[in-house]
Amino acid sequence: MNPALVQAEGLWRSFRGRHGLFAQRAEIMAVRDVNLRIDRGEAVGVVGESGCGKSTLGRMLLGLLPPLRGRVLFDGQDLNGLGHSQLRRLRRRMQMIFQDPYASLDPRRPVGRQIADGFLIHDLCDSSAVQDRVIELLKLVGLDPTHAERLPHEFSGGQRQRIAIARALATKPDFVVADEPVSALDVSVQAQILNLLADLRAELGLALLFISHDLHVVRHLCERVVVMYLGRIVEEGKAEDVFRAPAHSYTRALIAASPSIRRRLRS
Amino acid sequence: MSGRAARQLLVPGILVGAIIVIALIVPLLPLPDPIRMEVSARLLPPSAMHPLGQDEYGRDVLSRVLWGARTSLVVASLAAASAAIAGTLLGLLGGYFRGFVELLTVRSAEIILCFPPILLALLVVTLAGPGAGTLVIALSFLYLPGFVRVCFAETLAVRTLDYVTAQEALGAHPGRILMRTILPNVAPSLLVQLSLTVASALVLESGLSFLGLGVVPPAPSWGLMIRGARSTMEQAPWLLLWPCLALAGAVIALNLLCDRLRDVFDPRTRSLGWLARATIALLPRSAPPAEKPSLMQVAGLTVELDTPTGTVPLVRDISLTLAPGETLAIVGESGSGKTLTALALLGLLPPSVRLTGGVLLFRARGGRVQDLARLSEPELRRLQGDEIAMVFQDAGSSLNPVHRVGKQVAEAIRAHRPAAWSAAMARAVSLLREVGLPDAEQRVRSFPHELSGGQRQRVMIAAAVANNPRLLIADEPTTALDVTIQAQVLALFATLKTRAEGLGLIFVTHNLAVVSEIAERICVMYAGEIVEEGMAGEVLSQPRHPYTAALIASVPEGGGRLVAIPGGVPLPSALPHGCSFAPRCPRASAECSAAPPPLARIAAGRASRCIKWRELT
Repeated sequence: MNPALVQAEGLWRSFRGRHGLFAQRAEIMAVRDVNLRIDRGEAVGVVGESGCGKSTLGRMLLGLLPPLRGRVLFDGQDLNGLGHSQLRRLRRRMQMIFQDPYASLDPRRPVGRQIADGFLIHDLCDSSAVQDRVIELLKLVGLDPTHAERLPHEFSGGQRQRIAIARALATKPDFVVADEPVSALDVSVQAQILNLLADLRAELGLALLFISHDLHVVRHLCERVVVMYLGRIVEEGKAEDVFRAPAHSYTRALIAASPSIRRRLRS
Repeated sequence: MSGRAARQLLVPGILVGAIIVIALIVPLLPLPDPIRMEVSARLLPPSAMHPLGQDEYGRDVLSRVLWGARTSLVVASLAAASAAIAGTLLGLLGGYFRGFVELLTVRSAEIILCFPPILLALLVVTLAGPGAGTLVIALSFLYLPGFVRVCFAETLAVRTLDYVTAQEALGAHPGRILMRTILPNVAPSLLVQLSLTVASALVLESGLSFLGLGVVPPAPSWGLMIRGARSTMEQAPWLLLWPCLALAGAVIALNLLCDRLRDVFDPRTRSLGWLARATIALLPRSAPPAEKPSLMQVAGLTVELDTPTGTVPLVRDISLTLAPGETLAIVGESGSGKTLTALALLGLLPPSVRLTGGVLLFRARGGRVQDLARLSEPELRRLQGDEIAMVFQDAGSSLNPVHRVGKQVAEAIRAHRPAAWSAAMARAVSLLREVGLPDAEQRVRSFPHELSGGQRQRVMIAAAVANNPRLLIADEPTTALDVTIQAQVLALFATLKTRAEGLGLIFVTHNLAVVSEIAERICVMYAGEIVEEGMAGEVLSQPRHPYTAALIASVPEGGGRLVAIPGGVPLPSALPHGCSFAPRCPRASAECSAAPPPLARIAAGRASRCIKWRELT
C-alpha cells in the first residue's frame, strides 16, 4: 500500500465553552477519535451539520489547530513534531479555501498582491516573474488578468471565491482543504465553482478535502465521503454507495433533508 | 479615497493644516522676538505695532501666541506619536499572541490607568524636573494605555477573520502577518485615536504649564500665557482671551478632523429614508385596475436608483398576483432584483433607491383595498409587522443582540395592539412554542447569541407571525442554514400555512431546489424583470425560458458534471440591448438582441419572456 499523503490517527479536539457569567466552564468535544486517510490526488468529502466538528478537523489536518490527542502525518511527517519554521515551510504544500469569500480576502490590498503572497513568502519565484505568475493564476481560475490591481470589493462573490482559489494554488500545493467553499454562493455560481474545482483537480492532481453540509454538492466532486455527527465519523465510503445505500440513520436523514427538484417532480 | 471622503475632510483638513503651517513657519515671520521684554510698555492694549497687545513684561502677545502654538503642538504631537507607536506595537503583540504576551503588554500598560493623570504627570515632572522634554515623556506615558487598548481590541477582532487565517495557512511569518495584514486593517481606528490624543495632550500640556510643571518660562506656551495673564486679569482681561481662543480653536479643529476621519472610515450612508418615502406619496394617481385583488395585486412595479449621472432602473415593470393561502416563490440570482421587489412591497426600500412607478393593491383585513405605493408613512407603518410581515435572511443581525428574544417577540405584538406586558409575554411564549423552539418557557429569557442559527430564525418567524399577518414575505429565510435545519424551517412554513388560514406567502430565494419544496407558483426574475412565471410543477418540469432551464440544470443532484451558466448577471447600468439574458444564453441568435422581448402569455397564469419559448421542450 502506498503511503498516504495525509493520515489522521485518533484525533481528538475540545473547545472550552461557557454558559452565563458565573457558570462553570464546560469542555465541548468538537472532534472525537477521528481516523482519516487521504491519498495523493484523491478528493474526500466531509459532510455534517454546523458544529459537527468538520471545520475543526480540516484545520487540524493543516496544522492550524493542534490536536488534543492523536497525530496528523503529512507525507510521513508528524505535524506536531515540527518546529514553527519547519511547519511554515511545509505550508507551501497544503492550502485552504474558506467559506466566505467576503471575509477571506484582505479588503485593503489589491487581489494580485494577495495572490502573490504565497510565492513571495516561500520564495518560489523571482520578483521579475511575480507579475507573470499572477496573470497565469488569474487565467487559470477564469478571471480577467487585467484585474490584478483591483480591490476585493470590486468583485462579485463568485469572482472572489475564484481569487481565493488562485491564492491557494499559488504555491502549487499537493493538498487543499476547502471549507464550505460554495455554501455562501448562488446556485448558478456554485455550479461554476464546483466545475472549476473539478477541472483544477484533474489538471493539477490535487488531493482535496471538501467540507460541506450538503451531500448533493459533495457527490459531484468527491470519490469518497465521510459523514460526521457530533464529532465522530458515523459513515464512510464511496460517494455513490453512501448516497445510494446510506448505512447510518443520520446519513439517511441528511439525504432526506436536502431539497430536491427531482423528488418534487416525481411526487 | 473617494470624492465624498475628500470633501468631508476638506474643512477640518485645511484648519489643522493651517495651524501646523503657522507653527512651522513662525521663525520666518516678521514678528517681534517673543521673549524680548519692554517693561515700560507692559499691559498695553492692542495697537498697530502689537495687534494683540503686550503682556505683563511688555512682550508682543501675537508673537507669543504663534510661538506658543509651536511649543504646544510639538509637545502634544511628539507625545501622541510616541504613545501611538509604542501602544500600537504592544496592542498588536498582545492581541495576536494572547496568553503570556497579553499579560506583559496590555495588562501591564493598564496599570498606568490606576493613577489619576494629573498626579502621574506631577510625579514624573517632580522626579525629572520641568521642561518640554519631560512633558513629552509624561504625556506619552499617560496616553499609552489608550492606544494599547484600542489596538488590542481591534487586533482581537481582525485576527479571527478568515483572511488572517489564510495568511497563516500560506505559511506567513507572524511578523509579516502583523505588519502587512493586521496593521493596515486596525490603522483607521488608531488614526482617529491619534487625532483625539493630540487634542487632549494639547489641553493637558497647557494645564501642566499653567501649574508651572511644563514648559519653563520665558519660553512661550499657551498654558504659561494663561498663567501670566491670570495675575493681571483685572488690568488687562484681553490677555487671558488670546491663549484661551488659540487653545480652544486648535482643539476644536482637531476634534472636527477626528469626527470626520471616523465618518470616512465608517462609511454608513446617511439615512435618506424620509426623502425616499416622501416621494412614494407623490406618485401620480393612476386609475386602479378594474378587478379587485383577493389579497395582493402588483402592476408595473418599477424601482430606480438615483446616481449622480441619472437614474438606473433596478426593477422594471413587475406584475404579480397573490391569492390568500397561496405561496409564490420569487427566484433569481444575486442582482436579479428579487430582494428589492420584496422590500418595495413593504415600503422598506434602502435610501437612494426609489419606487418610481406601479400600483401595489393590498386587501386589508376589513376587506378595504389600499394601494401600498400611495399610503402615507404612518399608514404604511400600521400595516408593517401587522397585516404584512417580513422574515429576513440573516436572523443573527435582524434580532437586537442586547434584548431577550421573548421581549422582542412581545414588542412586535405591543407595537400594534394595546396589550399588557404580561399578556404579551404569555403570547410570546406560546408563539415560540408554536414555531418549535425547544423549551420555550426557558428560552424566552435567552439572548439571541445564546441560540443557534436555526433557533434564531424560528424567533424571527415567531415575531413575524405574532399579529396574524395576511401576507408574509420571507427573503432567503433558509439560505444561511444547514440543510437539516433548512428542512425544519421549510416544514415550519408549511405548518404555519395550514394553521393560519388564508396566509399569503411570498418566498424569495436563489435556490430552485428549495422552491420545489414549498412553492405553488414560481416567478423567475432576471436583471430586474420577470422572465418566466407559472405553476411550480409546470415551471420545474417544463421550463419555457432558457434561464429557468439553466437554473434547474445548475442544481447539484445526481452525479456528473454540472451545467453552469457562464458569466454573471449584467449590471443594471449596462444592460445588453434586447433580451438581457442573450449574452449568457445557449440558444441566443441575432433576433434576440434586436428588441427587448415582451412577456408572452403562454397559457392561463403562465408566461415567458423568451421569443423562442415554443422551441423549448
